[in-house]
Amino acid sequence: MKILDYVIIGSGCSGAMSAQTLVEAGKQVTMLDVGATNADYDDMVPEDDDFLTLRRTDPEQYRYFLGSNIEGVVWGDVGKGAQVTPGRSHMARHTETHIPVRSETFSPLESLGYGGLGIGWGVQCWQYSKDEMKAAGLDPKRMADAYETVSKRIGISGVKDDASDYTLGTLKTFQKSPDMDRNHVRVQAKFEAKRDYFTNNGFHMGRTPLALITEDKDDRKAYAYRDMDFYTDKDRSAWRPWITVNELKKQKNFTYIGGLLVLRFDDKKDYVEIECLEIETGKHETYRAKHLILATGALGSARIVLRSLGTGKEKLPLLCNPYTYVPCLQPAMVGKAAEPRKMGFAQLSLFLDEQASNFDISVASLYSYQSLMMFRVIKQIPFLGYADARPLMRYLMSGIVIMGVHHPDKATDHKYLELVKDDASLTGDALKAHYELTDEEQKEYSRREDKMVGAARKMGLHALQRVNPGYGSSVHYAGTLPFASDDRPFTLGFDGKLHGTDHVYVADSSGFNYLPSRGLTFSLLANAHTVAEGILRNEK
Amino acid sequence: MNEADKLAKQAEFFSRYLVGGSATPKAVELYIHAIQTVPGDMNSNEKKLLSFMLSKPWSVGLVDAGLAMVNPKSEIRRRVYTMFCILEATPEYAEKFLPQKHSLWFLPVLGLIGVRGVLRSLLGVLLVKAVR
Repeated sequence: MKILDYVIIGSGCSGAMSAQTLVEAGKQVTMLDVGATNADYDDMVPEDDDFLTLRRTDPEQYRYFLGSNIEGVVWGDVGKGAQVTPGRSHMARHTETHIPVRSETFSPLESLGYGGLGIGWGVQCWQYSKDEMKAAGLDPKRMADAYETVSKRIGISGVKDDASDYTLGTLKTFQKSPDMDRNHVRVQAKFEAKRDYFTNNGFHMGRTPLALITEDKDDRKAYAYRDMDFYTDKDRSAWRPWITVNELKKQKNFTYIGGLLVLRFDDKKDYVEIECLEIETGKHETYRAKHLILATGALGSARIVLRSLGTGKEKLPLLCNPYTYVPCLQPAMVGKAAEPRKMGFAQLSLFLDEQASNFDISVASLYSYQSLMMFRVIKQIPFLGYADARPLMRYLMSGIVIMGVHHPDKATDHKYLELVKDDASLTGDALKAHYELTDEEQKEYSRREDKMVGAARKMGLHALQRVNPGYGSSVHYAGTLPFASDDRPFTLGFDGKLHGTDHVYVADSSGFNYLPSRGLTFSLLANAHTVAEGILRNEK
Repeated sequence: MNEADKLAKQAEFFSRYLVGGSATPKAVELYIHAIQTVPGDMNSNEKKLLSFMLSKPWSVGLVDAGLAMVNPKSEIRRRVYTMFCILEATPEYAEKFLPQKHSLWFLPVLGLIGVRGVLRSLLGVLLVKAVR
C-alpha cells in the first residue's frame, strides 16, 4: 500500500489552512473528509438580487428562506445553530448517526460538511491578546506572523480605532471595514458621547474585524450589501474554508477524497495507518501516511484520539465559551422602513475589561436583525396571537439589535469528555460530555451580563430578554487535548504533535489550554498555519 | 372531505386571520405538504378546538390568542405558525411582514393594536376553555 506524505483530516478552517501551507511548500497533501454538500441549494438563490428585492419578487424564495420541505421552520426552543438556514443545513448532516454526542448538559454543533463549521461561521476575526495566547499555550511571536499570513490569504476587513488592542491587535494587513447600518451608527455615536463613562467602567467598543472583503481580491468580489449572508456565499465575499479547498483542488500536489469518515489511526514505526468508513457504502478503507494531521475540531479530534489510544476510561477536558444572547430594542430606530443596504454580520464589538489587562474579558457582538425574517422572533412574543404580534413586530423590527455575549472558559473538573460504548451509534461508540459552570463562574458571568445590559441601555439598546441557548451553543470548543510541556498521554506538544506518537499532529483548537471570549476562529486558523510550518521546519 | 381538503381549508382560514387575505395556491400547497410531512400530535381537546375554528372562522384569532396564553406550544399554534412562515416567504404578502416607516403618530395606533391583542387573548382563553 502506498504511503502518502501528508494526510489532513477535515475540510474546515484548520484543515484548509494547514493544507494551504503544506501545498504552497510543495508537499504532497491528501485531505480525507466526509464533505457533505448541499447541491440542491447551490444555484437556488438568484445571484444579483438583494434580500428585499427577493422578498418582494421571487416566488421560489420559500426554498432558501424556509426550505423546500419547510424544514427550516423550527417550532422548538432556540438552541444550537438557531441561525443555520436551509442552504447550510448540510453542515449537520450525518452528525447524529456518525459522530453522536450524548449529554444532558452539553449540546454541541459539529459538522461533517464540506468546509466544516466554517460553512456557518459568523466570520468574526479578533486577535487574541499576548496574555491570552500565552494562557492558551500559543507562541505570541509565531502567532503574530501567522495572523498576518492568514489575513493575506483569506482577506480581513477592520478598522484601527481606540479598541484596536481588542480587535485587530498587531494585524497590519486588512481592508477597510464595511459600512455600518443606521442602527450601529447610532449605537457607536452614543458610545462616543459617553466614552469617559464607559472607559471608566471597563468598556471598550470597536468595529468587529471580519473575514469579509470590501475590495475585490483575486476572483472574489467585494461585499455588495445584499443582506443574504445567512443564505448564500455565491459572491464569496465572506471567506469560507471550502473556497480555499476548491482552490487547492486545482493544484497537482493536492488530492481531496470525500465521503470518508476517519475512525482511528495506528501509529507505527515508519508511518501511521488511518482507518476510514466510507459513508455511502459502510465499507472500511485504510490509508497510510508519513504525517497525519487531525483538523476535525476539538471534539472530533478528541473522538479519534480516544478511539485510537484510549482504554475507555479516560476523561478529557472540555472548554466552551458560555454564551447568552440578548435581543434588544433600540427605540430611536423603531418605525423605520426596511433598510436596503444592510448586512447580517456583526458590526460592533463591546469588550468588558474591568482589570484593563486585555485578559479574562467578556465580549458582546452586536447584530442588526432583518434578513433572518420575522418568523424567527415572533414565536418569542408571549401572550399575543400571531395576527396581533405581526403589526407590532413590523413596527419594532427596524429597532431590534441582537447582542451576543461570550465569556472566557478554562478547564475545571466539571467539564469533560469520555468515549463510551453506544450500540445505537454506527461507529459503536459516542462521545459523552459533561459541562457545568461552577457557582463562582455562573455568578461572575451573570454579573458581567448585568453590566453589559446596563451599558447597552446607555447606548440606547434596551434588553427584551436574556436567552441562554444551553452550553455548547457558542460552537466554540477547545482544550480537549491540551498543550503540555511534559509528554502526558492525550496532550499535545506546543508544535501540535500528539504526545506518544511519532507521526500524528493536531491542527485545530484541541490544544488550547484557555479559551478567551473573543471568537477562536482567527486564532485556530493561525495555529493551523503554525502547526504546518512547524512540521516543515522539523522535516528540514 | 379528505385530509388534503381539510388542510387546504386550514391554510385558507389561517391566511385570512394572519394577513387578511386569501392564501395563494402555492402557499396552500406548501402548507399541506408541511403538515403532511410533520403531522404533529393533536390531543382530543385540540381536535375539538380545531374543528370549532374551522366551523366558525371568526374564532380563529381568538383561539390562537387564547392558546398563546394557556398553551403556547400547542399543535394548533404550530400549524398557525407554519402558515405564518409560508406567508412571510410569499412575495404577494412580503409587505405585510417587512418593516414599514411610521411616524410617532403611529404609537397610539400601535397601542390600540396591543390592547386589542390582549383583549383577544383574554377572550380567547375563555373560548378555549369553553370549547374544551
